Amino acid sequence: MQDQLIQQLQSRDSVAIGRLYDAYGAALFGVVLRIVGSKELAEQVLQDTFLKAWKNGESYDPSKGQLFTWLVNIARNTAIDATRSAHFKNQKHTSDITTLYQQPDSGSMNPEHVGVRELIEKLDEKYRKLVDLVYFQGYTQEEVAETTGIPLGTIKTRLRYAITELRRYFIFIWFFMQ
Amino acid sequence: MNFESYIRSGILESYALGLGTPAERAEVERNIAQYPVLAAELKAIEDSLAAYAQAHAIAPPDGLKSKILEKIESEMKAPTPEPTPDPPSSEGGSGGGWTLKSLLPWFIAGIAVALGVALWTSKTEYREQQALMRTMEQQLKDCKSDSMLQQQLRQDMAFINDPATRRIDMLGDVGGQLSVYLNASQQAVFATTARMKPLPANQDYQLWVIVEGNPNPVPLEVFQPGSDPLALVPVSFREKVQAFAVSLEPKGGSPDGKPTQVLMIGALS
Repeated sequence: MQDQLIQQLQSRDSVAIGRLYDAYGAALFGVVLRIVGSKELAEQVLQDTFLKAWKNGESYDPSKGQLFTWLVNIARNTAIDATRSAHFKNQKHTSDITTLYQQPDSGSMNPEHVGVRELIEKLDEKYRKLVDLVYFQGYTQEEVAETTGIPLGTIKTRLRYAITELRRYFIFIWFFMQ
Repeated sequence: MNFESYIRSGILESYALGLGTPAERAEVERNIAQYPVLAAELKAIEDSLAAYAQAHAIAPPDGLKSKILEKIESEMKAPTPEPTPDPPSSEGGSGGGWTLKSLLPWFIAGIAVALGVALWTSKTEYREQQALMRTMEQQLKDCKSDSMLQQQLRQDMAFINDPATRRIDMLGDVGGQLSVYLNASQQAVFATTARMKPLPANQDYQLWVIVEGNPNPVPLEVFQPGSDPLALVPVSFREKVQAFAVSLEPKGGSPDGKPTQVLMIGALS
């Protein structure tokens, strides 16, 4: 099924975009909304993301990574560009990064996924925050290091540790969301 | 290449997160194309991140999907030239009107083809019937000589068909397919393991249960994919099971009592 979807995508068949939207629309919207911070802008970014996916479908190469990774990277870059052109990048970017990194998350998780929350909370706060900053907020590791004053090497090690811990439980996370 | 230290460097995580310089990214692409170990590692990282994103999913506003699809439709109509339909074959096209004479060769050819097909079909059918007869004879022989196996199959069938037996299909097809049969009144659990993917020599699968009141998965049997698709493999019974899981482990099972990488999970509904 995935093969057929990829084929449709590569031949710029709009059916592929509908299917991708059904499968990943909500996950991508979650990522985009966290980066841009406003629902209207997030909507525009998600629309642009799928248009880009459709236009550049033939450039997707399954040997270089999974479909979702490809899409989420388009979404993240589109969202970062949007915040830059909406020029609230400088105000938002640096003020958020310190507060986000230091304060515990009050509840960005979907509340109905109680099982997920418990599982993700197994992941130490400082590691989880780091994944969120890089994955959901679009910061580079260098930016996180600069702003927090934590050495780049430590950031890289922590990020790897965080993802390794996520891996232990990812299927539980996936399962409890169904 | 030292895979351990390459993986530990965190470069694959950076790649999956869309980070790194073009040169670094190109290097990762070369390496994953060359070494399946690294490709598998990258896939596991991507899966975890995707699951994390899915866990934080927020439904986009209604109507956005149709808006996107409409936009695509309108762009599709605009610039790209429509592929021109194949021109009709010119041969015989200009004369207009079929004559009996011109149709005759086609008619004869048609009859010849139909006859050929009919003959070929009946011959094939005969051959198929013969083959079926042979298979049935063989099966009859097997049945007679394999009464032990028959006995076993009957027992298994009785277990599976017992109204108290619950079948739990594992979700997540990373490792293949696996079903667990649990019968609490008989305190018996079996699994079908033949459709799991083969593993390299230094790895094993391991079954786990999640029981009520204990947040940590409890380790059960370490196993390899079975060879007999009909075989029911015995599994330890635990009370108050909520879910089963299968993990990928180093040879011999989990080294620290926690699942190393959970591949599949199935809950009692």
